[in-house]
Amino acid sequence: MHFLLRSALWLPFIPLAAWAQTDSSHTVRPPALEDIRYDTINRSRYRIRGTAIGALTLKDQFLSPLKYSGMYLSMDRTAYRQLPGKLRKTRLITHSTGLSNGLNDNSLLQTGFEYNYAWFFPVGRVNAGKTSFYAGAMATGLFNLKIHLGNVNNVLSYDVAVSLGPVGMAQRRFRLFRRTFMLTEELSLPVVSVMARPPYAWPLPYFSEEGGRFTDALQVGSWNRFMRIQNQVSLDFYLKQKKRRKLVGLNAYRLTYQWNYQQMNRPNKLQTGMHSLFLGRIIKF
Amino acid sequence: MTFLLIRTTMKTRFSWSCSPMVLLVSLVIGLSACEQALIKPNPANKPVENFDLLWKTVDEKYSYFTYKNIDWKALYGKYRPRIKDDMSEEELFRVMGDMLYELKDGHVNLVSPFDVSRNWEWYLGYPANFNETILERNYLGSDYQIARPFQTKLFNDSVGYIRYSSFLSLISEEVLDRLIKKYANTSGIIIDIRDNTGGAIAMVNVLAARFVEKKTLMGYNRYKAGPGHNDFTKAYPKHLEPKGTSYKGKVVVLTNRKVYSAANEFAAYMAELPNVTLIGDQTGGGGGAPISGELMNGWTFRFSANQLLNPRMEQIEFGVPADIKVDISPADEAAGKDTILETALQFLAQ
Repeated sequence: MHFLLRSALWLPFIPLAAWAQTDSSHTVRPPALEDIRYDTINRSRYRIRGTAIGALTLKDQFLSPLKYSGMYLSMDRTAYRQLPGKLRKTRLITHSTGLSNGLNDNSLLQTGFEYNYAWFFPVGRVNAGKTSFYAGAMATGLFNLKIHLGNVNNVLSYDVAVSLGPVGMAQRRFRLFRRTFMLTEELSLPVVSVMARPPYAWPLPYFSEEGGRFTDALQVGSWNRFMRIQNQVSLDFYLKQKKRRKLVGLNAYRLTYQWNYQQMNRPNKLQTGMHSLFLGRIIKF
Repeated sequence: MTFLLIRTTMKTRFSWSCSPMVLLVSLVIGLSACEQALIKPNPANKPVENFDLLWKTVDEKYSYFTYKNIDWKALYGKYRPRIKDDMSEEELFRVMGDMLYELKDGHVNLVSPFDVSRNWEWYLGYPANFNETILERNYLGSDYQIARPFQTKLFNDSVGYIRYSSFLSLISEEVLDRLIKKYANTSGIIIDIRDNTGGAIAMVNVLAARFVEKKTLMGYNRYKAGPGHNDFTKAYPKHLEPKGTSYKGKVVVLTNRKVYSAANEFAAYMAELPNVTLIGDQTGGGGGAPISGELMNGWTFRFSANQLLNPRMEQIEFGVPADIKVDISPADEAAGKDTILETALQFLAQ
């Protein structure tokens, strides 16, 4: 039921994307990321600041065999840098959540951050140049700290990971209500990761001699140990287009649906699913 | 409805099939549906599901099955048939509590709003060997000092007495410094931890560090590393180094069967020191640190998930023996005599 409700939030994207096909021969173009193939002179920078709200589901076997879910809140800072023939993206997300299992009064708190560093290269265009595809690589570093207030000794859990993997992006420009929109789909899938989780059932963290060293917790692996699907569909819309025909330099707003799934298999299984809606402002400078 | 409207309005120019973007976005939204399949929902809040979750969690993470020679699968066969969907909460609690009782572990409890299951055989089957009223009225009197969290007194102008009743009470280094300096010239110190059922392991280190002269191996810790009953990490050594003002004289630690968990660990540490003598009864044990779990009905449980070993790699789960075994007999207690304390005073007077 929860999923249906969450999915329902994103249904409007489908007709919007479909409606994009109605774009005919409008000549006004926003400072789109798709222009990077030709934008060899303008080394533009974009910054996106905003907040996301959504739902997070978590099952951390170190803390509890039960599934927890609740509201997700995050602050997101993204920066794009256009360079000749490529695009660089950096992104920092900080979040916090309060979760419950829906069965008893126990609660679980999670806070953490994530940093992405990605390079995109244009790989093709279709639909007369209105849809562009990009591919590249993304490095991700993340840290999440979880606190289960009802536990003794196994109160704290964490997951730390640094990973590297391919990232893909597709962009579609379209006109709607005499405005120009940009629909962007971005998907990344880490392939190689270095990660750390709490010990299987240790009540002590790696801070003492008898608890071992932090390096004891480090693992290197791929999808067998760490799987992460990071996906977002963004809709950029530009303001004041009626007043100003020339759009270069205009600010825009971004509405994003994000879906992340993360799984670490050892030493205790951790599964996290997150759906959120992000609203932020794009500033070009 | 929204779709219909759009299709009607745009029917002349609309084309689903030619949009890779639509397909991509739809695919990804569809992918997110997999999350429900990947993160399985919580089991139903029914007696059988709760029992199975308790049994499985303990099966995979409890640390003393092999040491205690417990056949956990056989216990499942013994108790599982007693679980019925229509049984009351009290009946379910009793069956689960009975199963956990077989672990013979004071660190194992099932906690419900109406009761806490426990196995307290580790002290209930033995002489109490401590009477707080006798201690206060016949030995401490009214002129002892309270240097929190300790009660202290100088006996016979030559023996310092320190009572520490719970390792849950935090110890400040300043208080310890003052205490050790105060008793620096005594013939010995008595540390009375009888009836101390444990608390914070960090306090064990704080207190014991005042009685070591050099870096000393106190024992080993090994932790469950996987779901198998014998899946353990390597044994991590535990050393203790001197800290602050240290005491160089003779030390007696008073113990009884109600010394448990962190207090048991303290007794184990002190037993390794050459100038320390344990007087009283064997400690109650509790060599593992407990971790928690929870059930769908809101009950929580805890159980040992590691093993503390002494420097000879021996278990202390069932206690640390006293160097000088002394019991307070019923006759002594009736006469208002703390035999264990008096034995310690005589020992230090020699």
